[in-house]
Amino acid sequence: MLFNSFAFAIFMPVVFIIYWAIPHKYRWVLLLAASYYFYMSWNVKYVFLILLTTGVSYFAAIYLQKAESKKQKKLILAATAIICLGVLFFFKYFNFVSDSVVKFCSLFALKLNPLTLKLMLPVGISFYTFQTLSYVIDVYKGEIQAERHFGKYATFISFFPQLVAGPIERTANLLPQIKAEHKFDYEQASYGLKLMAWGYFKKIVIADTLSQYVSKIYDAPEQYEGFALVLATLFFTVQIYCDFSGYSDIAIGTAKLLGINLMINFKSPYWSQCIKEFWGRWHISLSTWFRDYVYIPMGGSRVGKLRHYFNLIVTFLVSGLWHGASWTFVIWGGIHGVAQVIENALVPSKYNKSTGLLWFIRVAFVFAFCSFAWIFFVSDSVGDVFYVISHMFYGIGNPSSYLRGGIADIGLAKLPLILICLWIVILAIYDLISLKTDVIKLISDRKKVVRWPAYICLVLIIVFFSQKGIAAEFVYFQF
Amino acid sequence: MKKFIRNILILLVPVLIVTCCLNYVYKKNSPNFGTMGKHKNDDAYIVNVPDEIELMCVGNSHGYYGFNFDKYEDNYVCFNFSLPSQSMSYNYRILDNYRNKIKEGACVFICVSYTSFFGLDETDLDNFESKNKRYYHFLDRKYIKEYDFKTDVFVRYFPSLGVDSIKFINTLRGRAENRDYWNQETSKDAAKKHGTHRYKTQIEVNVDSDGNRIINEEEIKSLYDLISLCREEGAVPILTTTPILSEYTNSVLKNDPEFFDDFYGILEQVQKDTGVEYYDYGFDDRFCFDYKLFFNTDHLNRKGAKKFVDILMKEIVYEKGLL
Repeated sequence: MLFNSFAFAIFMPVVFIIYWAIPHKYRWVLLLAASYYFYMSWNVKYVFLILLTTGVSYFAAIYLQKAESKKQKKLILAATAIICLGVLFFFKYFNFVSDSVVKFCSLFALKLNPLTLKLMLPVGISFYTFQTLSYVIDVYKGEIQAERHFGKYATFISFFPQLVAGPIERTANLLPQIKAEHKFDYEQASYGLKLMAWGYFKKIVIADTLSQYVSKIYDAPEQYEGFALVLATLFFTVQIYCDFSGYSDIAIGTAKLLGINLMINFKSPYWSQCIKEFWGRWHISLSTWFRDYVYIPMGGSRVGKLRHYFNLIVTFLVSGLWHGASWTFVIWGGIHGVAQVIENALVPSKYNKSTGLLWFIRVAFVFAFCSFAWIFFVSDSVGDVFYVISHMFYGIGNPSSYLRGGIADIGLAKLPLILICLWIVILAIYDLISLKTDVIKLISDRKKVVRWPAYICLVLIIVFFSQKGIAAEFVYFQF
Repeated sequence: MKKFIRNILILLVPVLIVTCCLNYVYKKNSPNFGTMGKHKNDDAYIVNVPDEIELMCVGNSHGYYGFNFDKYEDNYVCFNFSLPSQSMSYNYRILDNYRNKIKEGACVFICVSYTSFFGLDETDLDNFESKNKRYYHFLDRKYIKEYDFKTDVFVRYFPSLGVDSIKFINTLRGRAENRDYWNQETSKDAAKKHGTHRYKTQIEVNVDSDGNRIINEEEIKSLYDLISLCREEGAVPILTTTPILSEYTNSVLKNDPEFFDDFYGILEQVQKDTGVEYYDYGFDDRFCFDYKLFFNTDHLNRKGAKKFVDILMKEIVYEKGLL
């Protein structure tokens, strides 16, 4: 069940009404049932995987708390990690590793038949596996207590707004909220609804519109050259942001309707002045996960310079691999890691708070760098990446025909171009204001004659300008 | 809570009013409501189907653009049931829906294209949902693949909510999109480019992950059903492949030498099983080198379609005394 589906438009109001109508002690049961129903709407069979992961981590945490020696604790933690990551590996990485081994052996004239499994990647497996792991690690560290109530713990792992694509919640934030008694808060629910509307605008108006052009080019990049490749890359840069942050906004808004506050996942990332800042604003729940459970345990920045750089690169390589079982994702992560190392080594931190023209130049540079890196993310193979990079400036010697040819190749007519520019300008202004203040709150504080027309316009734009009849799955569902 | 629900309702009232008004204007301005829609644009629906049709065609875009019956409409009741990207199974469903409109002894041209029998089932393709919507306008629900009541309601009563934003704006402005490909002539360069793109895409769609061609049995069965249906109604089915530029067929031969063996193999079997006649104009010298008869490598333009139908009438219909 997608957030942008008719089924969800029925499901959510029903859950919302029942949730607030029943006594607090039964609400977790409703949330658990709704979450499992939500998940099973994709594939009933895969519910056993989430049950397995939930069960293993639940008992592991209890035994961890009971364990007396450090050795015992380590053993339990390792066993849990092996099981949870094993499931993830089996479904997501088995074919990738098998294929890579075969290709590697072929370099030495060793011919092996690849062992490939025809499995469908369970939706959201990377997200709930990481949420489960963070819970067990936190119990291991003694930072939180193991949850005794299996039902409430299962609700925490499967909470439907964030189950399939995050934000990857921390136990300390979400679990107490699931257990706490909530009273309906008009302000919170109203904010949630407005955030959902903004998320829908980003997803079904902007991202889905751009996805048609991106798919056209990146499905067969070798058939294009010049500005069409540049334009498709820039469109993807906006598409992936609107798609994923749109999903996060809808998820956070949905949770707010149920009285639960999820962590913020995006904070105007394309207005960042450096790559480090970008990662502090992009997919924050994952970035902080890697920071807390990979980067810092490796020593983080409190080690020698070389070791620090090594830690950075390894963290980003793993982050790339988390995104997808392909070398393009690994390289994408690696590029960001290397960029941070270079930035760390060459740019003094005092320049990280520039203003005026320098600020703009730096923002533009970070945007250009991220766009370049997205080529690795969106391409099907390393070969496609090199084709795109080597052909994207073909014909630039004649700028007029370069630009016109690119726009024609991508299939952009005047009206769609105007609309796309308009949506992007609205998005950019919203994000720019968001750097200083909460835009939704800002509008909510205006007079009725200002805010109501704004809400009505937003809903009408979503109704009439959303893309219809195209595959509208969220990009991050594949991870 | 009351305040929250009340405010949602207050928001929905103006949204619904504006939506209904815009939908009304859209329906009024749309060329697809109440007009023939024949060869008007890519979304043309089948409407105003005459009774006692004597000369007709079913097929995909090759049939849609390739058959121009204008010259013969004074003498015969003609109709073109072809639509762009239409599958053979939908050809059958459409003709079954309108079977009582077929006159006994009618001539039915069934357009078979290189894409007709290969590839995944259309319901598995990404664009199926959007393509399938058009059939809600004119087919009985039992003929619609994966019929969905919600889609039916939206397509019939709120069409403005089911179209893309560009078409919506253009229609509101009274500028319905008219992709008049028919009157276009192709240039050699454009044809080359189109051909390469088009063929590569087809190859990708029509092979499985191991590179083997996917033969679509449902589509082949639909052709048999279509032939039987025509005969049940006393009509004469004739299979034909519309003319195609040599650039395209050469590209197919070069990239996939076995393609035509597979394609013609299926047609030979159909002919053997049913006794139906097949006329192949895919390699016809009168067309395949003449760029002025096409608007891209595999679609005839208005001039080409007139010439093609003249040839069909002369070489098949009159020659065999079919009408």
